[in-house]
Amino acid sequence: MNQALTALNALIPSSILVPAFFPMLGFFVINGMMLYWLNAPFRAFAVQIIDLQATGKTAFLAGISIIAIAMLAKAFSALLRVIQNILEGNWPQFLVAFFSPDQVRRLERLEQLIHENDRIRVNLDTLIGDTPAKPDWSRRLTDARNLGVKNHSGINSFTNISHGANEVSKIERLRRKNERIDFDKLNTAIVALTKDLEANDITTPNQAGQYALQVFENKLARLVGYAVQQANSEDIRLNNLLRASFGTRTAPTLMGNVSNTIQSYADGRYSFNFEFFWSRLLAVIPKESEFAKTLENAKTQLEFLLCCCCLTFLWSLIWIGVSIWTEAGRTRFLLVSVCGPVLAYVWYRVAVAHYQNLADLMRTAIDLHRFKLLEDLHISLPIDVQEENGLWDKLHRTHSFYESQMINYSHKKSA
Amino acid sequence: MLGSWFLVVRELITNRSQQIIIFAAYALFVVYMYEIYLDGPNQRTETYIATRQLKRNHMIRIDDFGLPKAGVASWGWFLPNPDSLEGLYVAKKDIEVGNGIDLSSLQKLPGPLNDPNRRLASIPLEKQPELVGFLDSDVQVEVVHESTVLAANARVHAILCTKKDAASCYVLLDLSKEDEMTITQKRILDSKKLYVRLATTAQH
Repeated sequence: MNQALTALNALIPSSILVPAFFPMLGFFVINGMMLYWLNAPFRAFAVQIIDLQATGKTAFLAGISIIAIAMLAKAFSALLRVIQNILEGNWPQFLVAFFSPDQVRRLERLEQLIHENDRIRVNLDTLIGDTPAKPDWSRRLTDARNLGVKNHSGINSFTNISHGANEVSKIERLRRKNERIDFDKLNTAIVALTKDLEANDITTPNQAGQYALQVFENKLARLVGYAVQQANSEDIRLNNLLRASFGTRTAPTLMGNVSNTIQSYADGRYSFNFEFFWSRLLAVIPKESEFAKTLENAKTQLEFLLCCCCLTFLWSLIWIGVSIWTEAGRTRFLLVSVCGPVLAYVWYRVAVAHYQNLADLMRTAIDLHRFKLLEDLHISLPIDVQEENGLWDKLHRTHSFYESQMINYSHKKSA
Repeated sequence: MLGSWFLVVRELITNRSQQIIIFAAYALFVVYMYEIYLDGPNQRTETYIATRQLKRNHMIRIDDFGLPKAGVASWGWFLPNPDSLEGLYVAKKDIEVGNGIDLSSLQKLPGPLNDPNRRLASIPLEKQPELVGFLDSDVQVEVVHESTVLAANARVHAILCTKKDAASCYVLLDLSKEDEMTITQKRILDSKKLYVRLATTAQH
């Protein structure tokens, strides 16, 4: 196996071995299996090849097949950029206008979730805010507890089914189901438990000999802390999701939106024209560094997934056509017309998820290596963020529009 | 009623539920193909065509059948493996040239004799493997011991082969009771000198 892989590596460049050759090989195998299933002469041919005792002939046929597949893989890898463009939604305007609203609606839903979470966070802030006019929840409970001990000394009728206990239990159930705990629900529980604290002596056990009031007060304290943490972490999660999924401009496809996040980040953060400077930035990343390898692996992985997606879709198209042309029967038609598109869509979604990783790495590359690019362009490094934004903007104008801009060069003195 | 459908359609289009529209269009295509266009057997199967007349109890050989002349089966689609037919016997009735050969018209072993007064006897073709190509059901042969004709009016019932090799075959003969007894006796005493020859050859 190792020898075979080494031989393959020698024959086919590694840049197309994983992203294009293996998917193409799989494509040929799966089509061969379909032909074997449905076509008798091909089946006879395949059996003849498999039964060949002469190793020379078998090796010759295997060699010819691998060369043919490698050539197709090479041709297909040249199409990858076009395929990626199509999947990113670079289509005629009428198609963009038709498909974009779906993506915009996704964006709006996400923004709505962020907005709702913000509202919960603000309300929770008012709940835990400590001002004389509106005492925080902890002080309200402490006051109620003191009042209860003072006015109802030795009396405790609080049980697990009291009103306050029920309200706290409701919040507990929300936590178990990983649902949002908002201000209203939490406040209701606090108000209910406050009343119970005012009406009972917390230091006295109830008729069953339990300190249930203390237990529920502790539970409520933990739940308030949890609610605040949950709202904060949800805020981070939703904002990360928004930044990883959508750029400034909305594209008509999931993949297009992920692609836009890179340009939006570069532009918003540094006024850096990603499309223009990316190839230049790649040149300054040290080839042997771990980061360059990680970036290359992520790119290879994405291309592999794109190839799998396209070839599965192509397989599906071919066999849907063959099923209709040959009137192959319902079972066969259903198999290719359902399994093919579903499988291609699964590949696509996996590719989108992977593209998010790659986009993150690309943003990291901009963060880490942009000053190296400036150095290699012999341009003085900026002093602050504002100057940097202006500098990248000037550079973009100079390189893209050939405008004359005031940019200072900085040449290292030769040793 | 129509108005509410219009509202639903307008909602789908104006609310930009493109994924639903595309999914629905594709589902409609699949359902149309499944229910109307491909209205037939769940899995289409085709048959090979007989290249010569195949008599009852004939053992099928690879050159007895070929691809149909027209349709997708002429490209080999949906045909079974030729191996799956080879070695089977034509059951019940003869298959005419150009007729399809499907598995339902074949059986694993030759059928029985129809006449209760006739008997079957087998002669090995170990020393005459070339005869396998000439002997077929209903062909008239003579059974000879050294130079003595033991049965002049024998008919081939079927050819039986245990392997693909012609030397492993036997000819199953349809004989009168007397001939069958004579041949059985000779076979017990001296089977090595027992052989068959085509009746026409004998005449020449």
